[in-house]
Amino acid sequence: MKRNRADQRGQVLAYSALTSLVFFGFAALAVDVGRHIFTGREIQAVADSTALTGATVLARGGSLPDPVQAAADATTFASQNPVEGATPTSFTPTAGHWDRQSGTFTAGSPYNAMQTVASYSIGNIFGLWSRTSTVTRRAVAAFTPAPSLPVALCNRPGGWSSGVQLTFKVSNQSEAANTAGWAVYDPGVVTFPDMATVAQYLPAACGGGVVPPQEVIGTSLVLGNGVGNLFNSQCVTQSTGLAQCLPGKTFTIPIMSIPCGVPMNGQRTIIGFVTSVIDAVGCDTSSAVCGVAGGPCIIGHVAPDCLTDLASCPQPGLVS
Amino acid sequence: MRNQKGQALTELGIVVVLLIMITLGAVEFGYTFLALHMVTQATAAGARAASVLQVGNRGVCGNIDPAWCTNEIESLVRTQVGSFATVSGVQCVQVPNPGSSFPCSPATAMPKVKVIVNGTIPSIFGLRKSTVFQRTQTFRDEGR
Repeated sequence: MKRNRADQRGQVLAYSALTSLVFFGFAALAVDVGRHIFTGREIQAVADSTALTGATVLARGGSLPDPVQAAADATTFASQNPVEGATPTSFTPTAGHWDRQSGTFTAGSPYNAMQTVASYSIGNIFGLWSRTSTVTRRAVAAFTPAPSLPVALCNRPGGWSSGVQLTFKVSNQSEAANTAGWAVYDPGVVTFPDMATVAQYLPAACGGGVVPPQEVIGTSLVLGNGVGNLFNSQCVTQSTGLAQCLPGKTFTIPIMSIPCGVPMNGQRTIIGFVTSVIDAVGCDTSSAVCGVAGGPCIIGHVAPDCLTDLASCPQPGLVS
Repeated sequence: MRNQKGQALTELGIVVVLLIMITLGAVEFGYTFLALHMVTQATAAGARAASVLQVGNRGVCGNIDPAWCTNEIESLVRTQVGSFATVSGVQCVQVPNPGSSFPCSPATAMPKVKVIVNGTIPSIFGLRKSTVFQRTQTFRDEGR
């Protein structure tokens, strides 16, 4: 009995040493993993805010989306939300395309989204598995605006910068001088339908009121100069007449892949968005001149980076 | 041999007290980190909500009304944090300051909205004082 006791001496010590080691090992792991997760939340804020900044720049270029400027602004913004009081150790903004159907992001044009990947290296306090670990978070922000007027622009050389005039003489002829045309927002339509289909997407004040579907850059739409027209005898006199309800208002409209100088028709792809102010509407169906007192015609200009009416700006949102 | 009577019990007592203290400490710090994580998340949500406030709901210069910030953003943050932490105040700061009446200050740099959340995280076992925190999240101001 005595001999056995002596043999068992120090056994508890060994057990406690082993259990303490395991216990403190897990405690150390909990501290480092906890810190990893917490830092992850902070770095996610960097990814989110920069992706939204980039997407805002893409959405509000005033002309075609500018991927270089978007990436530059996103990079500038990366220092705004500090991680443990410091800037991220690595930051990669990528302008690209967000496909709403498949939910995937692809780098490169057509640009409608900004992906940002931010990383931060933390020195682990206990470092059971490694001295430092890198926390990486990703975010994608995209803009899929709903256009507010069934009109689209051609792809103008030099872009649609602030103040540039748009002219849309409405007729069923091939109007090569037009820089704008009717856009059909109905999905699946491949030939230009009647004007009633187009007119439903006019603002409610003009007798329309159907909100066009959200459109993304890369979607194809049917364009046309007009079959018949919407410019009836009440164009000027009635409050829902186009000369009454359109001028002075700001709208979000798409820029299409069709070059300027050819008739605005056929199936074309959206390459950008712009906000435009409609200046004047002509109503005289018997006149061939495009102007305020002239024939069926819409004249407008590009708003300065949608600063005049931010409510009509395409709003970007986080998608991933 | 007689001298050692009760020694194991005393040792056990010391070890158990130590272990309980360590466990309580771990739970306490774990809770603090959880609450701080939730506050950070809520601050980010608040900052995002403030940054997308539509121009029609802002002042003449695109400024965010402090009362709106208190009503909307603070209640959003409070809802998200729940009872995990005590939120004492929420501020919405626009950088650069747009001003609130004509003439408005021109935006000299990229407009930003900062949402600053102040408050305390209580100590569950009362082992230490409650933790005072301040979290700030910044988003690009999309309403300017």
